[in-house]
Amino acid sequence: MNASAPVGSRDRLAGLVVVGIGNELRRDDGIGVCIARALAGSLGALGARVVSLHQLVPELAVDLADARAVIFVDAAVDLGPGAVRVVAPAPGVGFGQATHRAEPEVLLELCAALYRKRPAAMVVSIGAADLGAGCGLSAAARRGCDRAGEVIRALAEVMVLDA
Amino acid sequence: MSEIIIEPVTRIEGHSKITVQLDDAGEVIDAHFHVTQFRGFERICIGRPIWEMPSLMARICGICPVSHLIASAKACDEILGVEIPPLARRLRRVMNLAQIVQSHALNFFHLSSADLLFGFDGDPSKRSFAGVAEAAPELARDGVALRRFGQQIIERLGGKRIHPAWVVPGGVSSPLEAAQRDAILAEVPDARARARRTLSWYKAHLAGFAEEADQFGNFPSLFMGLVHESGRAAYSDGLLKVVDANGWVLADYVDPKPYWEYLGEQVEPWSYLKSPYFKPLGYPEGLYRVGPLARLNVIDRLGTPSADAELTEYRERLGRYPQSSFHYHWARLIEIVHCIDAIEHILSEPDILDHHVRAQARVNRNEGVGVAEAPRGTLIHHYRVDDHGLVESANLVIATGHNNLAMNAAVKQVARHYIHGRDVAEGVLNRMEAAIRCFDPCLSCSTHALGQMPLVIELRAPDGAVIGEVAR
Repeated sequence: MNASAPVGSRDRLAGLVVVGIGNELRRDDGIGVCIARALAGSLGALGARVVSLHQLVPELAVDLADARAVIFVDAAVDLGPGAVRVVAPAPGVGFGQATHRAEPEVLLELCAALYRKRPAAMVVSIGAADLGAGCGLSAAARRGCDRAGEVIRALAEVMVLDA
Repeated sequence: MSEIIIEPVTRIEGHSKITVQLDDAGEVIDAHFHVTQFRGFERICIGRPIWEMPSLMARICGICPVSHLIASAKACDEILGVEIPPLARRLRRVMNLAQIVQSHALNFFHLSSADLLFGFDGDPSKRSFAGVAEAAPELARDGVALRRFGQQIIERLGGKRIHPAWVVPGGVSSPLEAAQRDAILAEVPDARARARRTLSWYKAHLAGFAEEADQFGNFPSLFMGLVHESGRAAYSDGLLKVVDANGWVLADYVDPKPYWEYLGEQVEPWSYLKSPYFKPLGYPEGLYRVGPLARLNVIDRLGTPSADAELTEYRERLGRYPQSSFHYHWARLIEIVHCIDAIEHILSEPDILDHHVRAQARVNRNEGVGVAEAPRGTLIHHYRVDDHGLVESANLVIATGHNNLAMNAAVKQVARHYIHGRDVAEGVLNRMEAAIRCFDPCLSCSTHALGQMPLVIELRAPDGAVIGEVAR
């Protein structure tokens, strides 16, 4: 148990950043943003910071430098529609020319290089069914959102305790 | 004769290539910067209602969506026939200034600083932002922080940092809240300190790049930009001024809206990027430059004390009308300082939280032109609509396009100075790219294409056959 954030504390998820990634104008690509929005109230009330982004940007490294743990939430095309996967960020290719977009691992590398800090990190992916132009999630993606929300709540507790 | 091709051009926004044509002795005959991507936003928007146009046009670019948002909204203001509330004009200006800070920081720190830190002949494996972060972490941290400063202002005002809404026909969609203002103002001192530290770093290193400053697009040209009627810088509003290399005024505080009266748009078969020129001088003699270098040449002063002190030093060292495109870098850093100061000044005004921020109206005109200064230069949106406000035609004259003739001239100058024969060193290729990078082109904007800015140099023989190619 973390001495500064005991279980039951209203700030027990302080130091956790949840990053929802996606474009809500490309239907299921917006899953990460939808989940972040849905979790902002409950996780925020426990001290977590929940942000939504169209895409990961280099300056997010500043926020990660102050975090103990980070959960990236994004749509995936290599999963069945609505399926949920939790993995550590894939190895990066270096952040050499990262400018206005970056993969999670690239962002973590940038954070480590600039601030000598690297929070614990996991990527929660949800299988997308429809990436066409338009608003609103497919039925499969909506089911995936509900499952992913439960996974993220549990993961948040574990990651902050372990961090 | 032979030709060198650089493709793709790296560390710029978009897709392009450079071709260099050599004679039989291996000397440069000609060189071109080709923009090889196409998007077509001018067609995509046909039939859309003007109420959608600012947000639709913002999708042209992930770097400078705010510029398109503002120019588009201004065109729509004219179609509505409204004078937007003065407060809305100032709030739009804050968002535009914030975008200039973040976009300039992207170009200087992420794309250009590695060349300045390691030199143009430095180890290519180090010449990246990763290399900067390793060798000069404070410089890299300043770059990340300054981008974040600008992006957070955009997010606080527009709800998100990329493709924000908020700027709408008639003004802005909601007034500023005290918490938003206070959060932005609290971050100003840190941003200002980082900007000033970077300027000092740059000025200390400038002397080491005398040859590049002499060769990177160093030629007489016209300069164009928006100027406030008092002579100070104007980014979201203002009148148009054009001066020549000696400071002679060719267009003096003219209304920018009838741009077709003084700007022609030439189309060349080797590029998707149009080649605008100043009509009174014809094509291609009407070559002009826009963006930070041009803006500092057309204004009398910036309008904030610390930036004006920097401008004075800039002019003392480089002359009143610097001609080298290398000095875009310095001009860019001075503009960052000014934009931070101007943001603070505007947000400190007592009425900044008032609620009258939008004028409501229906379609009252069938045509509108919106002009604003984007980070890279003057941006023009021109729409014609039917009586229901549905877009019938659109013409976008983009900042990067204004600089097309100048970028081609810069590439030719660098090629002639550094290339003598078919063997081209990596450092020479890098210089050709860097000359383009000075202009900070955004090809996604200017051709209406998505992508990075990879580059290829082609070497062509007199008969046009490709005899060498260098790609990254």
